[in-house]
This record gives sequence, C-alpha cells and structure tokens, in this order.
Amino acid sequence: MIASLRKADILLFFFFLALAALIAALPLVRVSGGSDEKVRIISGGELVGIYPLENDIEVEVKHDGHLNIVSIKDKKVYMEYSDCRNQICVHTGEITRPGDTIVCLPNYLIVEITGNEGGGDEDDSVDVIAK
Amino acid sequence: MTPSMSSPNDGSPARRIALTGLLAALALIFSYVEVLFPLNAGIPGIKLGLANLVPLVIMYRMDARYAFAANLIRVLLAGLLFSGLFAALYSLAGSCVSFLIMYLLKKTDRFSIIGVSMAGGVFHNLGQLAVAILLVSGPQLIHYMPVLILSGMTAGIIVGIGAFILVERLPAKLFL
Repeated sequence: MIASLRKADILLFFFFLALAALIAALPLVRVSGGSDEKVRIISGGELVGIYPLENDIEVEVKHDGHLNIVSIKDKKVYMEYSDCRNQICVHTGEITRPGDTIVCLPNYLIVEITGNEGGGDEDDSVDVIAK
Repeated sequence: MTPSMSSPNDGSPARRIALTGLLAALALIFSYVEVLFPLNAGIPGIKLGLANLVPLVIMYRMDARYAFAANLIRVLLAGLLFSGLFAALYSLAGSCVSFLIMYLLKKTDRFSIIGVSMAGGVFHNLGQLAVAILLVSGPQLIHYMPVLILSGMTAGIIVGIGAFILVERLPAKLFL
C-alpha cells in the first residue's frame, strides 16, 4: 500500500499542510473585541435607539418633560447631562463592556451596552449548525 | 434471447446500471452508519465520510459516470433522510466539488487512489465552507479553514486506504 503512493500524492499532502498552516498564520481581522457592540437606550420602557459603540455621538433623550444627554465617545458611554434629582446616572461614569448599564430611575432611562457577552473569544462568533 | 443477454456476466449497460443502484444503496447505508456512530474525534461537524468509498471504488473499477450517479443519489437521499433540506445543500456542494476534484486528479494519472481520496476529503470540506460563507456569515468563517483542511486530509487518507484495499480485492467479475 505504501508502495502504491506516488510522488504527486506526497507533494499534494505537503501542499495541503502548508496551505492550512498559511491560513492559520494569516493576520486575519479578529471578529471579537467590539465590532458588533451596540448601545441601547431605553426610555420609559420604550427603545429610543440602538447605536454602535464605535461611533461618537451625543443622544438627547426627552421623556415626560425631563432631559438626559447620553454621550458615546472613544468606545465609552457616559451620561453627559441629566436633570434628575439624584444625579446617580451622571456619577455612574463611563461604561465600556457588554452588560454594563447606566440607569436613571427618576427619568425612567436605561442605557446598556450589548454585544458579544463577556468579551467573547472568536469561537463564539462562528456558530453554525450543519450536519 | 440475444446472446449478449444470456450470460449473467456479460457486462451489459443494464447490469452496470443495476449495480450502480445497488452500490448507491450501499453508500446510503454507510451514511446511515455514520449518523448512528459518528466518528468525529471529538470535533463536531467533522466525519469520516465512509460513503465516499463507493464512488471511489466505482471510479476505479467501472467508470466515473456511474460513480457520479451513485454519489449523487446517495447525497440527495442521505441529506433528505438524515439531515434535512438545508444541510443537504451543503452536502451536495461539498460532494460535487469533491467529486470533480477526484475525477480530475484521477485523470492526470499521477496520483494513487489514496491521494485522490485525500484531495476529495479536503475539497468536500472546502466546498461546504464556500457555501457556508455565501449563505451564512461571511468571510470570517475562513478561520475554520485550517481545521477543515486537516480533517479532510485525515478522513480522505483513511477512506483512501480502505478504497485501495477494496479496489485490489473485489472480484473482477463484479464490475463487468
């Protein structure tokens, strides 16, 4: 059986090995680390909007005559301004990771980051069922 | 009765077609066995591809056309019976690419059946990956390619050794 192997077999064998190694070594864009992380703003139980964490933006949220300003900057989210009494939301500071939230109870406002939960390694991003 | 039909071993087209159907059924059994006892070495979605024994043996002992027919029947039936329509599409893409590569490599006459089978295993996986990239989630699936190449090589070589033994030992009168 070994004797039946031809030179081309061996070459092809090493070609496939080299191809696999080459692709494994390629500096491919890693999917993890926030490209699909989003900021959800919920006011009075209603979704105001979903914004990508990547883009810097200031969102003014008005609800029941109250005003909040949510700021997304350098992949960080913080409450820029709130006219609420206790200012807990403003003092929460910056949030950066999926699952983090800023809550302003007096104004019924929730800001949360969603995305690959827990930072996620790249294996989690490829999830296909095929038998 | 014509003389050509009088002998049971006369190599008539009807006999070859019947044999092809029989072997397609055999390949379907191989697929079924793999559904029952998945030999995947712990990696989900990876399998040995025992059913590829059948087209390989037919290709080497009869003709590529019969091999293609038997393989196509097997893939369609196994897909519909064991895994559903969507997964059957993956299988179909994988096996068509795989068969084409095996046919071309055999035609060059530079490869042994083991090398041909190895390439078949690799391209079966790559064909499926191509469909997955088109249908599901885009180019980041290419991360999976080294694993698929290596597992395709392993499975292809093992099946190729089996096919080598079968091609050597099956009686000549079977394939007239």
